[in-house]
Amino acid sequence: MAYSEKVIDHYENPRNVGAMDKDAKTVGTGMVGAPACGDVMKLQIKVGDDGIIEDAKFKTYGCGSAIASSSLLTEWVKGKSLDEVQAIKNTDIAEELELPPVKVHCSVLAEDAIKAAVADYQSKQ
Amino acid sequence: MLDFTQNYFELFDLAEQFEIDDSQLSASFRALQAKYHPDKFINANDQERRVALQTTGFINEAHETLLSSRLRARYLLTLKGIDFDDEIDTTHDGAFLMHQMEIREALEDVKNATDPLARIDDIAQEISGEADALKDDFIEKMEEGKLTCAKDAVLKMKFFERLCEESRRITEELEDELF
Repeated sequence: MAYSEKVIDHYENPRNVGAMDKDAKTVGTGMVGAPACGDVMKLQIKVGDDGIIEDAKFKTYGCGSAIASSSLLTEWVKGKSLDEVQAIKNTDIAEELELPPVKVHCSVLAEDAIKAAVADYQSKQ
Repeated sequence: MLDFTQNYFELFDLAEQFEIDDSQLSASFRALQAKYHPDKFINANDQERRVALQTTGFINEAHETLLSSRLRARYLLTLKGIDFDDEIDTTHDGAFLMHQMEIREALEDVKNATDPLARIDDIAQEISGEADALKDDFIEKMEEGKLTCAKDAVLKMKFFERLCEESRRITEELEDELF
């Protein structure tokens, strides 16, 4: 199966890889796993006083598409409000990365991860 | 002609349960393979040859399914009407996933250990111990009729399958470097 150029770019130069303090009040952490392939994804957001996401980090153990989906998502969510990022759909990610049908579940994973991160942040407030 | 409506356990003459007799599975498999081998249908007409191919396909898929403990567990649940959707099923058990992350990180770090081979052995043992515990958990939940919990255990098995593959790959790499 051939990966799109965008997937390869994110895979070779992943953006925002790393970790933030998961116990910090301003940080929301989303952890999700894909039982179809055993991929694990962690996505973290740091939210400012104005409710805007200042920073995002991810760590993903998985295939190229899973890494690209989370890498792209961290780029997208920076500078957005929590409401805005919750409106991001997995289909937006799949379309941007031109994921083949068998890899669409990777984008589902990324959507779930950002939703979980927002929920975690909100539960701390 | 083979009865395609029977389930995989019936096909191999096994009791419909998670714990199966591996030697009976392979004996039944070999007997079915011999009986329905496509070579026997070389002089048959197109229709018969097509059926012969379908038959071997059915037998092979049944064998693969029952051979893997994870696929066998999954199949048992589908027989009970539990659906699996690989496109949308996700695991949200935070503690479980955090632990998965930790094992992945430990695996990544093996090459920096003073004795990498000893370290990977330790991790591989931990992984297989936890994978076994998950199987026991599945059996227990099935016996209690808690099918949703049993499905959860099956979904988690895939993560351990990946960890096993990863630890095997690292072990092979380390051994290649040494010998």
